[in-house]
Amino acid sequence: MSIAEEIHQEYMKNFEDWEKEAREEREKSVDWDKVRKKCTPKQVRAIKLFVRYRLYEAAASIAEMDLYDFIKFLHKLRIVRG
Amino acid sequence: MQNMDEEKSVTADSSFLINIYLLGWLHILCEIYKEVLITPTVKRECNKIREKLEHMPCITYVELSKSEEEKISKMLKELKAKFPGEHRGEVECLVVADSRNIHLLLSDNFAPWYLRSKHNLSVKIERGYYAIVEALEINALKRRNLKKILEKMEGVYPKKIIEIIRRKFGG
Repeated sequence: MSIAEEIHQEYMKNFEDWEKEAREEREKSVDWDKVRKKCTPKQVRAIKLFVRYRLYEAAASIAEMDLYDFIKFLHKLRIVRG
Repeated sequence: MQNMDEEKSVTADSSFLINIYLLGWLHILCEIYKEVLITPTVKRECNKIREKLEHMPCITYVELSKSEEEKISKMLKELKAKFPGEHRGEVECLVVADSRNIHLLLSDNFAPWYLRSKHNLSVKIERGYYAIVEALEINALKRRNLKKILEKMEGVYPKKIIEIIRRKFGG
């Protein structure tokens, strides 16, 4: 079995716990004061959705941003995407 | 160097493609996979990296069949009732992977996982790290650079996954 496959199986076995852990990582990475200062209300709403569900395309559309620009924007705000 | 998945075709969603592009590793896709199918919405969402994609021999732009369109519309309705915003790209990928029996959907988006579970689909979905690990296995990403590779992955993929990759490759 390939290593990619081994990791996939481990991920699937622990899917809920690991997704929860990743969500907590995203939540911890957000500086909400900075976000509120630098972002429009639509962008704030988009970031909330992204942090909670990792829905890239949906969040970008709510922020009314191109997906590429939205991902770069998250990076600039130091919001982890894991 | 032997390509471990030379017969494998995959679909890829926009967030995966943009993330792997921003990491500087878009090139690994054609070293790993025979074909990477891109749906119409993914093509549009990846407009800013289109020029790069168009120079990659494994990238194949696909049109949707009528029955795929019907399934997409149905799933979009369900998804929109649960989550706000635009979901068409990732739903197109999931339906194309399912209806064409593609081995794998590479997605950094949560929505395909939700739909697969809800519809009990057998499509195998993997986050972007799957392609990165496959690239490490065939040395398309050089294992001697593992430390730097893992550092670049920080913030893009979960810490847990980065730790496992470190452990598996002995970094």
